[in-house]
Order: sequence, then structure tokens, then C-alpha cells
Amino acid sequence: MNTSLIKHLCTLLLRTNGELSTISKRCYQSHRIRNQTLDKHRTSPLNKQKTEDAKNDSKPVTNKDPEVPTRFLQKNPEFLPNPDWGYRDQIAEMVERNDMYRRRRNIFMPEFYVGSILAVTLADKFALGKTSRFLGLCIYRGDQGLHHKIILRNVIDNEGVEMMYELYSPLIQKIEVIKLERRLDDELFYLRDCPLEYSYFPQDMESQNIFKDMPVTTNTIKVKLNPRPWSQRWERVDLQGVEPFTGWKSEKQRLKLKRLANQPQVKKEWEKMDLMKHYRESIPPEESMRIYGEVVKDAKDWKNREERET
Amino acid sequence: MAQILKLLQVASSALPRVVQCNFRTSACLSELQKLSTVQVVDNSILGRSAVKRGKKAKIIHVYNSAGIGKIGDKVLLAICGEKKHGYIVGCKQKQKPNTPRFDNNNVVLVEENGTPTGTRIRVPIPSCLRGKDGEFTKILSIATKFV
Amino acid sequence: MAVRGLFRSSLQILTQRSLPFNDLHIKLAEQVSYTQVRGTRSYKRPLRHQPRPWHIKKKASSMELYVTPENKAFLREAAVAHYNNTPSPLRNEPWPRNEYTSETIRTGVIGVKIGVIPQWKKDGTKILCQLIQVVDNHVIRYNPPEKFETALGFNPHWKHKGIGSVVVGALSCTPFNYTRKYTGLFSEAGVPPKRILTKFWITPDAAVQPGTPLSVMHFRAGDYVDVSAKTVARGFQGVMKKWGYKGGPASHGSTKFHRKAGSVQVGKKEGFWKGKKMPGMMGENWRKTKAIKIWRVNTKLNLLYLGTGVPGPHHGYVRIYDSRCHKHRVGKLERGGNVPMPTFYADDIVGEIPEEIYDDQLYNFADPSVEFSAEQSK
Repeated sequence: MNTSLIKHLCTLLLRTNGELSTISKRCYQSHRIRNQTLDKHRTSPLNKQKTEDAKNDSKPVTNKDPEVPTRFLQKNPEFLPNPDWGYRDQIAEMVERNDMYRRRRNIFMPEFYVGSILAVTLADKFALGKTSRFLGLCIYRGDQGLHHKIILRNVIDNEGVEMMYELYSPLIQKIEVIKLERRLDDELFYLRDCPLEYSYFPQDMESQNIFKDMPVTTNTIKVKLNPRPWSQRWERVDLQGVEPFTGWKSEKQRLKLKRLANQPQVKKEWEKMDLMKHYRESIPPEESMRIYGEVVKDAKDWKNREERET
Repeated sequence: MAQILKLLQVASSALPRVVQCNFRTSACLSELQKLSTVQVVDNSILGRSAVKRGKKAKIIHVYNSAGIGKIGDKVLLAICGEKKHGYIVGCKQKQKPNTPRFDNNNVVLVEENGTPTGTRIRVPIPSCLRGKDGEFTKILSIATKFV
Repeated sequence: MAVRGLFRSSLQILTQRSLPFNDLHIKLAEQVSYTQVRGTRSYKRPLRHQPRPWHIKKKASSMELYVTPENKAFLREAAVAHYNNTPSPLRNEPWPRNEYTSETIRTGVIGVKIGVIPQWKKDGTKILCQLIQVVDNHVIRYNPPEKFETALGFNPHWKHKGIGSVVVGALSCTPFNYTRKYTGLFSEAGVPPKRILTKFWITPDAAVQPGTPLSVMHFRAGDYVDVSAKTVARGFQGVMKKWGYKGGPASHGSTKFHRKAGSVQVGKKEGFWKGKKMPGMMGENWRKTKAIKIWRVNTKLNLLYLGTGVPGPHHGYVRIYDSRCHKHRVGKLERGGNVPMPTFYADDIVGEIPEEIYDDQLYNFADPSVEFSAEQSK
């Protein structure tokens, strides 16, 4: 049977049956209320404290919602909520998004991806000019909502340095994109186990001329791994941006590690067919389109350009 | 593209060669505790001789209630058959936001009276150390770069 | 003095007669027989999952079996129309309002835990806040101290302190799934039956009229509250997880003794040590966290941004009331401003209520980014 058909049927079934949280373990607790019932109470005609926002949220999803360009989705991935059904709530997600809008009106957050080079200026109590600027390669971008984080990596004085920034922290003064590009992988943590030359960028690097709706290129550079030991078992991960490793200690070691990596409990090929797992770890497309429909409306008021220094 | 490659070549010539080693230097959490190895980053003779011999410095004691060293903690080291005090100046462990994480565990050697043994620190050190009082002012005075 | 036959007699009253809630405890007290039994020193309470004798049966059988969907919708509309047209007791003359002193105890509210959200202070440090929504709260009943002291569940240690009680309910429903006795409880307040009820102790100067709605404006940003709730249920757990026992050795010939408790008795005559901690159901107990700060208040959606440490699961009910700590009771007066007594009314503020109220130390996302000047560090 066609897999896409199974997936479609499964999602249909799940949605008609109602909320998924009934399956979760925590439901036997007496002193708590289910997500669906709470939403009913918020909008019920007996509730005298209800507000207009709560009404709007419970509107059924229609096909008339505004179409969101795919590039907008890609460059602002943090607006989708955490897909764990045990911890979801409409009002809490809305409130968090409102805070993000307010911050976006104050500070310019440019478009960037994992693999592009950024420079972040931060208010620092202990720095000499009370601000510190760090330039580096973005090797990670993750977490939802106000928790959204990035990690920059660079080499200073032959020492690899990494900085983690929370994008919605009020300490951040400015975010500049020096070079806008992508890499072949979604996370570049393997650069920790590569020669330092691959993650070296001068701190006074000149920024690229970036204009609106610029096409994003992918950097197809393939890096070399250092000899083992590594921080993770990279032979078990399918890495695109890494050359095939040759520095094995012996042929015996190579065969042994290859055999271990090909074990079924390591590869976990059944996870590709696990539809429930996929459903639990993602947000349904209808809902994500409803959320991004709101975000696109608000994006007109965001700060779209940096203020020019006089 | 060509410019980057040129840059890389220039950079690689300035960088030290990677020495192959067959043992793990720290546990998966990279916590600094007793018997974990560290890198001495000042230009003292002891530190340089330890690098030449290929024997890293070992932590014998952490002056701390938790027993696990963080940035700014005082430790006792064993280098080249000697006991020496030192301060942790950079960690490999996962850090909080806005504080730097380094590829190595860096330590600066200190005499018994608190003056640093070397005259210069070769790597950048985190600027949050400026918030500490006491003996740290002497170490900050020999630092070259802050992150 | 042991009380036997209390539970049985109360059940008889509940099943045979239909009594209003007010007079129930008086009738109960008349009928209970006190007989002294040797060897038992205290009143033997009913088991954990049995209802207390003064409780009323809440849920009725569902009507889904014998009512068509059209009739069901009609009934629901009729119920909504009925409750919207019932006259509120608030139309009568309002009760007198007193001023707040450091010894008054006000009512609390019932909230629902919604989620966790990060916020930042003005000095740049990050804090985590617990979001709590106060949905549809009303005061159901006020019992003055004279009446409260005669109630069955009253603690005799509180006898001469002049403490009354107030019953608060949250989340109004249509009455079809509840018994007639349960819906009768809400006739005094003129509100639809509530999903959940709790009782708060209050002093008589903070007495609230039944039927008044309680909103999030009952509290102010910057004040401290106590929060009590039922903790997360973890099911039947062993002794190592529940009480932190050490367990047994992993090897050296130990068999079937890795996660067990040690000895529980010495000799046969003595029996088990009383109060020995044993495996069993873990969690779902009432716990209280004291002095949690209110960082921010959203008046439009009725949201509280509390500090961390609120007990209970996600979407669990919590009881929120003013902190009993002496420091914070006095601190409320020292902060200045008006403490809403006995609760906030819509007439108290001239003009519109602000949508968001922040604590002085909290960063507002609409403000420009935080900057440090050279003078601040000194």
C-alpha cells in the first residue's frame, strides 16, 4: 500500500477522534483538566469573562487563510510551538508570540541559516566599551518561541571558541549577517572534531552586500575529520558535508565500527515508517498555516532594516 | 571561493599541528574533577616543558564544595612531578548563554603568593572573570584578549 | 473518644432526605451517636477514596442515551438563557468595604496551569515564569466565623481566632450532568454550577458577597502569593524512588535484593515498626509553595506570570492566595497603593484598565534593548 495514503488516513482518523492527549500517560490525574475541555470553557456562552481573542482562536480552519511564502517559513522557524501534546495550550502560545512580535518591532533580525556567518553585538557589563562583538559561523539554530538560540563558532588565537546567544534576550544590540549561505547539513557540530582552519574567520571580516530576496547559495565544501577520538560517534551519522574518513588505526577497527554502525538497533530504520512518531513530533500543516497566517500579518510592522549610523 | 581558500592556507600555516592521541582526555560531560587533564595556557617554563614532554597537567584537587571545577575556580595541579596552584580560565563543558565555551580546558599557573607564574596568556579568556575580586586582578593584567 | 456510626448515619441523611447544604451539618450533629470504644483514641476517618460524610454526590448519569441531539441542543440553549436571565444577588445593597490591615486574610482564586515562558529582568538576567489563567471564578458562599466553627470539618485549634470561610468556584457548566443537590448549592450566588469548588479561610473584614466575580486584578504585580495544589501523580512506586532509600548491593552474591528496603521489624511480638516508609502510590498529594512573586499580570486574558515552584501537572488546578508570611503581609502595606479589598470591582478604576501590568524590575518587550553605562557598573 502507498505510504502517503496510509499517512493521510492515519491523520484523518486521529483528528476525527479528538485530541491526542487522551492517549498520554498523565490523564489519570484527577485534579487537572484536559486541553479540549478548557478551550470549551473559555469560549462557552456561560463564561462572562471571555475575551475576543479566545473567540478568534477557536475558529475552524478554512482554506481561505492567507498563503504564506515558503521562504518566510524557512527563515522564521521559531514561531511554531513545541509539538509535545502533553504541554500545549492555545493561550500560552499566543501570549508567547505576542512577546516575540514586540521584540521584533524593536530590533532588526535578519534572514540567516545554519552555515552563514554572523556577528552579534551584546551589552556586556564587564567589557571595556560596555559592548562586545563576536563574529562566527552559525553551527546550530534551535528551540521554539522565546527560548530560540543560536551557536556561533570561530577560532581566536588558535583556540576554538563558541558562543550561545538567545535571540530574544534584551541584551542583544545588533545582529549582522556577514555572509548569507547554507551548508549541506542542518547542524555543524562536527566542526569541533575537524582541523581549526575550517572554522576560522577573521573578526574584521567585510560583510557581503545583502539585498532583499537575495538567492541563498549552498556552500558545498567538504571538511576533513581529525583522527579519533571524537566528541560523538560520527561514523553512525549520515553527514553530507564531510569527506569519507580514512584515518583509521587499522583495517580491523574500521570493519568493527562499520559493523556496529549497521546494527538494526542503531540504524532504527523502522522509525521512518512510524507514523505515530512522525505525527507526535510535528505540528499538523493546517495548524502551522493558521499560526503563520497571523505571523505574516504582523510582520508588516517589524523592523525591516537597520538604522543607519549617523 | 578562491579568497577563502587563500585565507585558509594562510591560517593553516599559522596553526599548530594536531597531535594524534589514542586516549580520551575527559568524560562525555567534560567535567573538570580530580585526575582530569588540562592545558596550561600561559608562557611559563613549566607549562611549555609539559607540552614538550607530551604530558598534560592533571588536576589533583578542586578548591570548591562541589568538587567539579567551573570557570574561575582554583585547582591544584600536578605538572612534571611538581605540585602547582592554578585557576581555570576556560571550559570545554556546555556553558550558559552569553558565556564562551572553548575547545580545551585552559588553566593559568599561579605561585603560592598569588602572582601568576607566566607573563602572558596565549588564548582569549572570558570577560565575566572581571566580575571576580581578589587574586584575579593579577591574572587579568597579563591577559591579551577577552571574549 | 471514638466516633462510630458517623459515616453510616450521614449516608442515611443524604439518601433519604433532600436537605440544603447550610443545615446539613447541624442535622448531622444531632443524629451522630458518640460511643466510647477502648483501644482507639482518635476518630477513625473513612478510607482515602471514599467521600467525606459532608460531601454531596456530584455527578449524575449522562443523558446521552435517551435524548436526541436536537433536543440536547435545545436544552443547552434554554439553560444558557436561564442562567443569563437569573437576577444576581449583587443587585441588592452592597456589603460594607473595609481597609486592608496586616492581619486581614483575603480570599484566593482558582487558576489553571498553562505553561512556562521565559522573561528577562531589566539587568539582563533570565527568569522562567509559570503562566496561570484564572477562568470564570465566582464566590459561591460566605460562612461567618460563628457558623464556620460549628462545621464538621473545622479544626478546633482555630476556634477563637475569628476565622470564617468562603467557597469559590471555577469553570461554569450546564447543569445536565450534575445532580439536583449539587446544582442547588449555586442558587444563592445566582451562577451556573461550577466544575470545581474550593474553600478559603478569611477574616470577617474581608467578607465577599456571594455572586461576585473574581478576576486577576485581585492581585497586584510585585506582590507575593502562596500556591497550593495536588502534585504530579506517579503511580505505584518502589521504596528507592518514593523515599530515597539506598537499596541493596549490585553484586557480591546478592540475589533479588537490589532495590528493596531492609528490615521492617525485629522479633515476632513487636510487629511492624509504626510509620515505616513503604512502597505505594506516589504523588497526588496536597503541597504548598510559599512566597512566589507575581512578575506580570495580563488583565485582558486573565493571566498571572508567577515565579517557578508551582506544584502540580500541566493543566492542573491551583489555589492562589496572599502569602501568609509576616514579611510579605507587612510588605504589601509598605509598598503603598491600594490593596483591593475585599476584592477588585470594576468601578474601582476610572477609565480603562491597562492590558499589561509589569513588576518594576521586569523588562517590557516593547522597550528598547538593555544598555549598560559606565556609571552603572560602579
